Amino acid sequence: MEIESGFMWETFLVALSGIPVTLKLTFVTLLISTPPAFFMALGKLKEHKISSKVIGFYVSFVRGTPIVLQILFFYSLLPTVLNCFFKNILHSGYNVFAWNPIIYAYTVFSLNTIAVLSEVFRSALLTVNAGQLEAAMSIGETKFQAYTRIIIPQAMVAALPNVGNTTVSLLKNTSLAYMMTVKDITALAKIEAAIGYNYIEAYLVILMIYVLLCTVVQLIFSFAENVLSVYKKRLTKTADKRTNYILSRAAAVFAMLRAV
Amino acid sequence: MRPFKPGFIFEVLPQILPYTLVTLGIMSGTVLFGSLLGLLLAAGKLKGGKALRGIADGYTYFIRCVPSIVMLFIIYYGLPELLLGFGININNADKAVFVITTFTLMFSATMSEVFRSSYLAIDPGQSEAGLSIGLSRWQTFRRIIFPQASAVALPNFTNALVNLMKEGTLAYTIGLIDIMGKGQLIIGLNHGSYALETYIALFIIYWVLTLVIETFSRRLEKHLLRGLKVHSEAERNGSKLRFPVLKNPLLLRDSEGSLVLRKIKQTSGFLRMPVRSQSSAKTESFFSED
Repeated sequence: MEIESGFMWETFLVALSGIPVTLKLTFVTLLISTPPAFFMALGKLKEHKISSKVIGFYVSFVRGTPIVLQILFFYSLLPTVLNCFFKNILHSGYNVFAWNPIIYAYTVFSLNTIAVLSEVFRSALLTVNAGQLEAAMSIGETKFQAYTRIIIPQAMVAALPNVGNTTVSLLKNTSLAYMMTVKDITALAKIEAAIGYNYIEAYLVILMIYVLLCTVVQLIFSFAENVLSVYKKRLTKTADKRTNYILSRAAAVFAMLRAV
Repeated sequence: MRPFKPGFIFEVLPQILPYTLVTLGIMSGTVLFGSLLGLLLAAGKLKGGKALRGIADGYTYFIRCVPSIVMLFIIYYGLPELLLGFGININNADKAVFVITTFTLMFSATMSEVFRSSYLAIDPGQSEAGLSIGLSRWQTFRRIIFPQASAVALPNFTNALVNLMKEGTLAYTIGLIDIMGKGQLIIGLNHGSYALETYIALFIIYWVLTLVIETFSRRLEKHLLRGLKVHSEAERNGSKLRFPVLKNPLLLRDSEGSLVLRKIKQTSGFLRMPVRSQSSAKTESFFSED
C-alpha cells in the first residue's frame, strides 16, 4: 500500500476550503434550532394534553429514524413541493432548482437538531429546582423575568456538556451533506479523489480535518463551561466548605435535639 | 408532477421486510465484536497502566470525532490494500465484512464508556461485602456486581444500539443490500419514481425497529431492577412498613391458623426460597400488616 503524500497535501488544501461550509452548516443549524427546541422543551414540561403528545411524537420519530433517510426524503420532497407551490399557486416562473442546496441542508439538519436539543433542554430545565422559580416570583419578578434571570442561566450550565455533544455529532453528520450536493469538506475531497482514484488518501485527509475541528469545538465548549459555572465555584473554597460543613452538622444536631 | 400514491407504501413494505434480517445480522455481529473490544478498552481504562489507559482514552476520543461514513470508506478502500501488504487478499470478501469491521471500531468506543461508567457506578463496598462473606472473586462478580452493573449499563447500551442501527444505514453507500440498500434498489428499478413512498416505508421499518428495541430494553430494565423493588415499595409506604415484604415468606399460616416455618432447600451454599404454589396463595405473610 502506497500513500502519495503529495496528493494528500493537495487534497488537504482543497478540503480546507470546505471548512467554512461545514462550520456554517453546523453553527447556522444550531442557531436556527435553539429557539424552537427551547419552546418545545417548555411545551413538553407543561404536560399539556395535545402539545406534549405532538412533541413527543416528533422527537420519537426524528430520533428513531436514520438521518441519511431524513436527508434523502426531504431532499427529494422539498424541491418538488416548492416548485409545485411556486408554479401552481403563485403562478410565477420562479426557478426553485436554482437555489443553493445548502438551504435544504439547513432545513434537514435543523429538523433533526431541534428534536435532539429539545430533549437536552428539557433535562437541563428539570435540573433547576422548582423552588427557584417560586422564590423569584415571590420577590415580585414576573415569570418572564424569572426565566431569563434565574432559570435559564442555571439551566444553560447544566445543558452545556450535552449541547457540546450535540454539536460534535452535528458536525459529524454534516459530512452527509454531500448527498445534497453541498460542497463541504467531504464533497470536495471526494471530487478531488475521483480524478486519480486516490480514495484512501482523500478520506485520511478528511478524517484528520474532522478530528481537528472536533477538538476545537470541544475545547470551546469546555472553556465556556468553565466560564459559566463560575457561580458554583464560590462554595468550593476550603474555608467556605468548612463553614458549610459545620453549619450542616449544627443543623443536624439541632434537628436531633428537637426530635428528642 | 406525478401524484403521491400511498398504496405503493404497502406494496413496497413486504419486499423490503425480509432484508430486516440482514440489518439485524450486521447489528448482532457488530454488537458481539464491538462489545468484546469495548470490554478490552474498558479494562485498559480501569485497570491498565499509564500507557494502556492513554491508548484506550485516545482511541475513544479519536473515534468520537470521526464521522461513520468517513470511517466506512477508509475501511472499504483501505483494509484490502493494507491486508494485501501482508499477503491476504480480501478484495472478493463480502461487503458485510467491511461494514461489521467499521461499526465494530465505532461501537467499541461507545461500549468501552458504557462498561466503564457502569462499573464505576457500583459501590466498591458491594464487592468487599461479597468477598467478606466468603464468595470467590468470580462469584462476587457474577452474583453481586454484574446484576447491578448490567441494570446501570442497559439504558446506555440501548442508546448505543439504536445509534448503531441508524448509522448502519450508511452501509448502502458501499453497496450492501440491507433495508436501506433494498429500498434504494427498488427506487432504482422504478427509475427514481415512487421514491417518496419507498422512503416512507423505510421510515416505518426503522421507526418500528427502534420502538421495539426501546420497549424491550425498558422491560428488561424493570426485570433487572427487581431487586430494588422491595426498598422502593417500603419507601413509598413510608412509616407503615417496618419490614420488607418478602415475596416468599418463611413463616406461613397453615389451614388451622398456626405459624409454620417453611422448609428451605439448601443448594450450593446459597439459600433458595421455595416458590409459593398457586394453591397456597391464601397464606398470608407474617411481616406484612393487613
